[in-house]
Amino acid sequence: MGVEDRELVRRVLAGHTDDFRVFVDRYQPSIYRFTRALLRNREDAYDVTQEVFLAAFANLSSYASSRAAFSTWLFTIAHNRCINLLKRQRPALLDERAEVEDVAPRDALDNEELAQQLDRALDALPLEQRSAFVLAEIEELPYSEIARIERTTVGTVKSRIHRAKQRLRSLLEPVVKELT
Amino acid sequence: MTDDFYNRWLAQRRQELPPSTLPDEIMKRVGELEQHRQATRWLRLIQRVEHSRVSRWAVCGGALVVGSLPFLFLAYVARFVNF
Repeated sequence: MGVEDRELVRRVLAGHTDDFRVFVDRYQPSIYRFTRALLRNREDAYDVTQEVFLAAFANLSSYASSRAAFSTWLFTIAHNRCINLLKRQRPALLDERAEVEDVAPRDALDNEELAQQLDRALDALPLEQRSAFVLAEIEELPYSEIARIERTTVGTVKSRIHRAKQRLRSLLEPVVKELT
Repeated sequence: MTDDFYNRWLAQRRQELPPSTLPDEIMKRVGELEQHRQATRWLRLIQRVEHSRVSRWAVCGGALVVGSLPFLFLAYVARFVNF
């Protein structure tokens, strides 16, 4: 992992601004994937990821390593920024579920198309389920950290992930059964 | 959904990378922010003094001490001068 986050924070705060690059290289893929999943838009995700790191840099002195891991802090900023952006852009869509197209007939589906279908099913999940699912299944964060990021309980996180998986399964199980 | 297919899809999602320009773009904006911060450092110091009663007392006390130095010097020198 190289230099520890805590040590890096200390160095950046001491004026070694270039050391912030290590944080950027270390965490920008995860933050980008997370914001893209929440916003369902590459351009917005690109912008919000930049804003997340800028906000982290600007408020680095307020980060307390004893309270949370640096990655948790970044994900929390990203989560809040995404929700604020979604509220600003399209408040009605916060609870909206994107339409999932009807699953194509068996011979039209190959693995790639099925993956796209899963992507669309993921996009169609409610925001809080999508967020919990991405953090748990794609970023592989522990439930306790997800609960901290989403400011909720571990039980709620587990329930959201369970419902997200159930919904993905219900949307795609018939197709996969046909394929196998 | 088969576990095999699901796991492959997850692995594919985990490998998704942002555009390669993103880290440079972030660092460019971080550099700009740092420059702006340095340019406004004095302004922020003044604002901090304005917002804190203790700081205001400290600054005024310091100014009083510095301002009184010439008079203290004159008072000291005056002891050696016969009028």
